[in-house]
Amino acid sequence: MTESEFEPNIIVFACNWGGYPAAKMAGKERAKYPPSVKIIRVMCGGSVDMGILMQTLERGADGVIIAGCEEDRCHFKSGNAKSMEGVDRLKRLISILGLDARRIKVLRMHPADGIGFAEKISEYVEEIRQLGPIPKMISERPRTATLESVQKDIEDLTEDTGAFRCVECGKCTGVCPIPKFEPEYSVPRMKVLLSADGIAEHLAEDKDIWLCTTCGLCNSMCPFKVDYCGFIAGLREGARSLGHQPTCAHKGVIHSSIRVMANSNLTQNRLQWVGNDLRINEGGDVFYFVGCIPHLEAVFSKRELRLPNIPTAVVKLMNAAGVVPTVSNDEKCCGHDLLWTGDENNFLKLMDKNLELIKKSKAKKVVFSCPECYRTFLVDYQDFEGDLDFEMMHVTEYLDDLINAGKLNFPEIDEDISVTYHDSCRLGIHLEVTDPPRRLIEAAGMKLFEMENTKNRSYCCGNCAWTNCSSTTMKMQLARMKEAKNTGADYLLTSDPKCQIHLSCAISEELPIERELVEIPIKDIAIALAELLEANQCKQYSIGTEKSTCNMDSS
Amino acid sequence: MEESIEMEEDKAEGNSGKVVVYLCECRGEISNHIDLKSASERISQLPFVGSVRIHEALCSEEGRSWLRNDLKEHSGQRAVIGACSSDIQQNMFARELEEAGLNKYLSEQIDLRELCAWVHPEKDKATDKAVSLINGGIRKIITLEPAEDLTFSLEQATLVIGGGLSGMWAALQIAEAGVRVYLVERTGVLGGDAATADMISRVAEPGDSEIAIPTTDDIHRVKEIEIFLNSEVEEINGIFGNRKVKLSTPSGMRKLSVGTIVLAMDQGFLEKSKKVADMLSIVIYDKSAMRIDEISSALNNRGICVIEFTGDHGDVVSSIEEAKSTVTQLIKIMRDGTVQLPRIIAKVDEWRCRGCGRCKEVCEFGAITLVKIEEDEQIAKIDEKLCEGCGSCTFACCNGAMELTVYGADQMMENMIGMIEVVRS
Repeated sequence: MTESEFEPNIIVFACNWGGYPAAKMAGKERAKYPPSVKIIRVMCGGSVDMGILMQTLERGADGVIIAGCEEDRCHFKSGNAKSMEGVDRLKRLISILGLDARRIKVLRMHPADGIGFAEKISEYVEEIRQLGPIPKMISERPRTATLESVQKDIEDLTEDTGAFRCVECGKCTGVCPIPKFEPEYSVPRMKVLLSADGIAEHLAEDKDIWLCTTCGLCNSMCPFKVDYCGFIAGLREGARSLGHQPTCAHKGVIHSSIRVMANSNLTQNRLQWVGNDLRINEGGDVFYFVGCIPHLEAVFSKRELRLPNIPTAVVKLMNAAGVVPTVSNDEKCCGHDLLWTGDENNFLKLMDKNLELIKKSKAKKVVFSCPECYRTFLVDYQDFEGDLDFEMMHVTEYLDDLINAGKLNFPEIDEDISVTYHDSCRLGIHLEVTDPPRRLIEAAGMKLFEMENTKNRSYCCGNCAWTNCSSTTMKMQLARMKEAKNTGADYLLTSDPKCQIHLSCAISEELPIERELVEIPIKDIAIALAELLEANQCKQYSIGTEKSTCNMDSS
Repeated sequence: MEESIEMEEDKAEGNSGKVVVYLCECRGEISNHIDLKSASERISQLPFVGSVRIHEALCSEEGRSWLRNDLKEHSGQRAVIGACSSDIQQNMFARELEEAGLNKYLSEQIDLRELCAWVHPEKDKATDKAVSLINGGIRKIITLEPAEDLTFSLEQATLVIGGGLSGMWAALQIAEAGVRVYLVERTGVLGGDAATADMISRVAEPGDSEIAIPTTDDIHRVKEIEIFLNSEVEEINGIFGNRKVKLSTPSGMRKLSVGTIVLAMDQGFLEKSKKVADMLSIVIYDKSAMRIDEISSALNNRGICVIEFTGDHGDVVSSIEEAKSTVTQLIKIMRDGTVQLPRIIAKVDEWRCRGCGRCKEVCEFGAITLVKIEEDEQIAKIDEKLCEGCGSCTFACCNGAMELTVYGADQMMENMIGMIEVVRS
């Protein structure tokens, strides 16, 4: 397509009081603009969520505009200002993905300025014309699923997961955390039972299959090794193929960005967190797979979680042990969230790209700070591709190895730092990697106070793949935070950025119970270790306070 | 995201029924610029579409009767009308839809005139766009549910803020219609200042001076008007139709209950009225060349309207002409005693709601409260009468527990998908 043939497809979300009247006025005044611009009426620019804008681009709009009221003139007091904050975060997110931030635009319109509307729209169309078309990111695949074919798939699933072996001993039901907070919940074992009777018919409306957090306690208790989690994932694939769309947090912005990674070959911007003091490589024995920390930071920047401090800490710790890891700008999301929400098609694309990347880097060992990435490579990638020819481990396992090899030493500390540790379900229950983090805590001189439910009986942080947010999981999360607080420890350490996000979310806003029952600072274990390592080098430390002398902030 | 069109069509059969589409020629204003025949052929191929009909002028007497009868045959389904621009509150075809047994919330009026026919000279491209706009509308209304308007009853009193010429004029109009008026003036005199006197003296046409320019005598003669001099509005609370107003007067605080409020601005008033404008949470525009009724009318501002007598109009008579329709509409709703507004408000999914309060934090209208329902659970509740339907809460809610009816995220998504998928094919 030559430049002159490219007609930029622009979607405009125009508010009922500013943008839309201006567009109507343009009509009354016969003020022309390109017909590839299409206008959708909304009540307020402040109601247009990041997820909507992101999916508009994902589906093929070359540019998207929010046309709201002028500054200080929002019909709803300050709706137009609220949308700006979200737009900034989204621009950051799409820049990381490799899309030009100019594809999102905010216009401020006087309701009677028809000529101005037409002019501004036409200007924007020209700007996007210069930029070029957005890459095609939607895969067209005619859906051929029917109730019969899905029922057949579920029968195969019963075989593949070993679900046919279920003897209804009920051990899994006893240990599942959800019925404790949602008595009506139908556990995975019940789904296995129902599947024999033709579950496909009601699959699209089934709420329970999306409430399961796939923590895997059921799997771990089952004497017959039934893979209930896998069964749930399979049911979700079936529900999706029957047209069900799961409700994801943040209006689906995260899943949308993951699909963009799966379906495009853009040059990304994933390495902005890498500070000048960090040593990384472009190839070598050890590959540090960072995962989607940069994307999550863009989405959650308002929450001040400082997620980029996690990979910063990991690299600092590795460097201190004399290791210069490969850190690549070409990583793609491991695809965990898509696999667990029934989107196997896009998951496989991500898998292919990641495996090719690792192969090219000639890595012998891949280290993950996110247990979800780790489990996905170790279990799911190998399920699809057979044995991979590189070693895989979580950062806590790797650091534990480095300490054992004498390459990493933590100095004595005078201070009493008490912590409790939350085993993430992927690391603690699915993969049973529970000792290395504890050895690290001890090695660094922290005192560990265990919660009631730990290791491979840990309690899930309440969310998996962004689909579980509900009043039920809020109760789960508050119960978990109570457990943490009750240990009396100074900090709750996590080893999974998602756990950190979800548990922080639960206690960051208004609470139905007293704050002091649940409030305890949450910190990633790698950050704690790096601070303690550096603290001694600085000869003064006050770990985790806002004014930490050895500043971990990479921003 | 791949979706099978066939699969969704089956869902439509079961749940929502087919959509009937009407395209209005608008007596050539649309049909001269959009090939409606070709568009209707393409639209009839789209998913969910039952039938497509073209009419010369749907808004005419004959057109509306035709529409009513045609809709009756398709009773219980959904309708998309491609015509001129619709005003959300004064939905032109609402009555026709309801008489035909359709709930008006299951319809969408797509602007093919102002947003397409009048701005795109290339007929084939305008036709393409018309098809995608209609498809967006179709996909959107599939997501909608039937609903009823919100009803507000009106206290039979109006507050007029500002005792200058405009305030006096408005007070007289409203009182003469039989509605009680409270007229509040900051200074000790009615009638405005020198600038106003100058405006009164500038009469455009010789005969214009016969138009009744209000005098203070006129005001004092009307017993329905209660005047507060040297008084200011301190606080305005309450909901549309039942505003609780606190005045500070020389003889102390006075509390009033009013159904509507008129902000009467004279020359030079703009700076002084900012405090009141903030209180009323309305936006005051500088007078521009075109009249913008939609912004100043009482119906669109929950019972608050703005009239302006400024020198921009040249003379007082033109000011009065401009303000007439605003005040006439206000008088009508006061006399009706109740107002129906579209049910475009926030809605909570109580199971999804985590009680985090992010919605409450962003609501500038005080419409959201957190209510404890169990020992360890609280959820958000919306006051339907305070909610203005801005949707800020739906953005603040990261969980999808808060939705805006009719113009929510689902509707935006489907509308967008409908527009893009036609382009792609």
